[in-house]
Amino acid sequence: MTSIPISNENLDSLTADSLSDNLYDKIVPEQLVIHIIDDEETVRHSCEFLISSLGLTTQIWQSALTFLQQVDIYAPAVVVSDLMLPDMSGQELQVYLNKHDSPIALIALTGNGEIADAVTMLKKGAADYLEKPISSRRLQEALARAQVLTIKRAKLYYIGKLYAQLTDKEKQVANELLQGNLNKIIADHLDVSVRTVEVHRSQVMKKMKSQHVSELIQKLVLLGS
Amino acid sequence: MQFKQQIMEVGYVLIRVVFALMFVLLSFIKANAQTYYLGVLAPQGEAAAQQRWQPWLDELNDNLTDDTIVLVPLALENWQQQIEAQQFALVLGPQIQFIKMDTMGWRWLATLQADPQTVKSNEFKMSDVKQADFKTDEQYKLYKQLENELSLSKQAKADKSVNQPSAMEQIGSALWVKADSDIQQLRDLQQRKIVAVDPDAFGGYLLIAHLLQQNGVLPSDYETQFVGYPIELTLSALASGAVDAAIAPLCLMEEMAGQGKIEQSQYRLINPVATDSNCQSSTKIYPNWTLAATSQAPAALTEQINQHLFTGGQRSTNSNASSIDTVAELRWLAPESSVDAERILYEMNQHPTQKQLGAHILDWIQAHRLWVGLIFFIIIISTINYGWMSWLAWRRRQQIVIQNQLIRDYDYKLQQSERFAVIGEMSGAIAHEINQPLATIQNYAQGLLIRSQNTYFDKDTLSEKTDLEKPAAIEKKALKKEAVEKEKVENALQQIVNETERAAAVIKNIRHWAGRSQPDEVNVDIAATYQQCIMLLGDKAVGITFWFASDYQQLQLPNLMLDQLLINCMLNAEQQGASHIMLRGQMAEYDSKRWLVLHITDDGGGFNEACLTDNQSVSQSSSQLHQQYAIRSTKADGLGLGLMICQRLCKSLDGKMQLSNVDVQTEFADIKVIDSHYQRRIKRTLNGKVQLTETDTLYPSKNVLGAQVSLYLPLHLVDGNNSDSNKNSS
Repeated sequence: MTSIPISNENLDSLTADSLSDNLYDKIVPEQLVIHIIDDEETVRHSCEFLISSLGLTTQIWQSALTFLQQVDIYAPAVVVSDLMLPDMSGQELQVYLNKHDSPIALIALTGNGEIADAVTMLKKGAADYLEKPISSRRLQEALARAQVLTIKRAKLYYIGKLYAQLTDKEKQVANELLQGNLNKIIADHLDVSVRTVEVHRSQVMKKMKSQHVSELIQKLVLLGS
Repeated sequence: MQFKQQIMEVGYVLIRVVFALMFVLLSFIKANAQTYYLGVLAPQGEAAAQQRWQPWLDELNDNLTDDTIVLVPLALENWQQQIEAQQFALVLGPQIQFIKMDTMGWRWLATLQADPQTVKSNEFKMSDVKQADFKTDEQYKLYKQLENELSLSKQAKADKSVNQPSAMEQIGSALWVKADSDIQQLRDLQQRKIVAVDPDAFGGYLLIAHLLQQNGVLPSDYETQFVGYPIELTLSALASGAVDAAIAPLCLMEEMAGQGKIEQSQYRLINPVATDSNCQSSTKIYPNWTLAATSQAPAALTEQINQHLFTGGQRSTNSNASSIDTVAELRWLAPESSVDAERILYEMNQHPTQKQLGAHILDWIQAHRLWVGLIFFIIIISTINYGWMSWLAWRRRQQIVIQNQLIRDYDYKLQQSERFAVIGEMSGAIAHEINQPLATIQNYAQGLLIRSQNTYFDKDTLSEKTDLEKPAAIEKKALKKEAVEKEKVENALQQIVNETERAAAVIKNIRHWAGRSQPDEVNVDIAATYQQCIMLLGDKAVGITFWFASDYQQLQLPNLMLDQLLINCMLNAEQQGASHIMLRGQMAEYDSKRWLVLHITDDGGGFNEACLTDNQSVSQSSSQLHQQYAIRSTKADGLGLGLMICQRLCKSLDGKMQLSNVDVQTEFADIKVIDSHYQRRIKRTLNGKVQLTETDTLYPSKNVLGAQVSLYLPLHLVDGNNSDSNKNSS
């Protein structure tokens, strides 16, 4: 499997629109950028040192606002963020990312280690919740989970964007295909001709950037999940 | 003849008519005659008194033109009451007795002067009895027979009974000692035992006691024994040797000696004085019997009596022989003054005016009973009122004591909770501050460890490639040495990691300990808690007007949690010099959720704008929050922890705390929106009371801008029962 290095330099190009269908399959989780957000400089740099020791690409940010201003939140990435931040807290960052359907997976760091905070964060969609000082083993597990999660979310986001391009009729056809119906049955169900179904099907395959029906079904299943 | 006879008959009729008219006239005159009563003291019984005074009175009646005086003997025990009750026109009795009476309006007519030669002459004489005194001749004959039989024995005693002394006529005291006693003069009686009849007896104890007092011997200097009646007991006691001296009424010794009861020669009189009496006396002799006319006696009667008393002697010489003795034995003189006797009573503190002060008071009360009753009623009412007020005051005091005790307990608990909160906050802050460098160290150590392990792996790979180029033995030795060094470094790094993890565990334990004391949840009345917090502010609350309006009445919160939240915010406002502190409880939406928000607003000027950001939130870093709150806290010893504690407490309830600056008048308006009819105003007055008043008045605020602390609490904390039904009821 060919991997595409994703670094700081090509971050801007890693957007939903620019990514081809195959790109997600080719993304190597270990090559995703790990963003570290902490207002404490020493913690920020030590965290970068630790994560880079694991062979991962890192980028550090002093605040969540700066991070949001400079990073495409629709590109797959992992954020290791402290909860207590000036301007915007870790919780608020998570809410923001959720609100904008960002595929970024957030690992929350806290010095308090309160269960209520952890539960809240996980409920809000955080990939994991770590307590300072971070255990390297727990960090590696969390990063691995987050990397998988962000790729999955990116895929979903990408597929969702493709699906959004479909017309209502095409969505109906896609839904029929997902149920395993043949063109004739679909035509009966939709009360159109088989030819019309074939045209719609062709459009669906094209818009969903799928070579085969099985691939389309896979994307639709993923979207449905 | 017939005419003559008719004239005689007419004359006879006329005579009869004249006689009849005369008879009617006489009857009319007789009908105007009055009967007056003479009250006489009868110390020896009615018969004796009658026997003694009736002859004199009969003679007196004979000399009165129309009026009649009737003798009424009076017993000693109640003669004073009888005189005051019965309306006697004349009173005859010892002068000393009159001193004890109310003699207002009386006239003193005469004092009886006893003739020492005829003291005995009042004795009953059989020869005086006339035949007319008997109803039948037989009775008179029997009487004469008895007189003859008794004449011999009577004659035998005649000489003996002449000049027999009697205590009846005069009053005086004799102080007797035994003839062989060493008591020679009055001063010798000091520390001696003296016997007397009665402490109130004038002709006895009082005269001698006065005499002794004049001679420098006070009653306390000698021991007095009162034996009471009969008066003979005094001399009997002296005779028996039980006492050193005896105070006897005048003539007692002579009487007893005459009766053979005592041998007078065995006794000696102390301080003998020369008197007109036949009896020996130690004191001056005072006249005994005085005739007085009360206010009931008309002046004419008094005048007639006076004429008789003072001319009776001359007239009596012309009277019949039977009355000579009687008139001669009763010599009436002008009334003697009672000043001496009164002076003695005064000096002995026995005068009626001294003794009867209580009686005077009673009389006065009787005379002014309406006013006295009114005053008494007022006093009773005042006393009851005083008692009632005292009881109310006592009850109030008890309530205050109990209230103060409750406040103290509450304050203590609150302080304890606050202390825990402060400890929790501080340990949390310390843990946070230690945790940060600890995390840094551990990150670096772990990073180095991972890098070292990766480098070792790379070196192994590299060594495999260079195996062919270097001698195997040298390379092997170098690699082994490097491996040992790397192992040591990695061990050291692992040690660092282990220690940091250990330290982190300790910090976690501290944090857990600090946050563990979560009290039980209770139903909390917001208004009551607010008032209790005002009480707790004590003198600080004076001058501050507190406002309250809430859509909700109760909350389900850990005990003392709301108290801590409120008191911290209120203290903060008070330290800012606020004159109004407002608490508003309302539901609000924030972050897509519904909250119960408690807004605590003051008019202290608001928070420093520099410290308030547009997105004011509790989720700021601890250090920043502390910095901001520290600016707010102006208290000299304040740590700025109050709002931090509030923030922590809010967070423990899954709530939030937000700070903002608001227009005070807007807040007033918001409060009015909740309670549309009135505002609740709580004022803590100087006497410690918290008064809840309703007012429409808008009070001027100290500053236009006010600081507002909004505590966002999850709505589930509101008791479901009171969420809507109790709206505006708090």
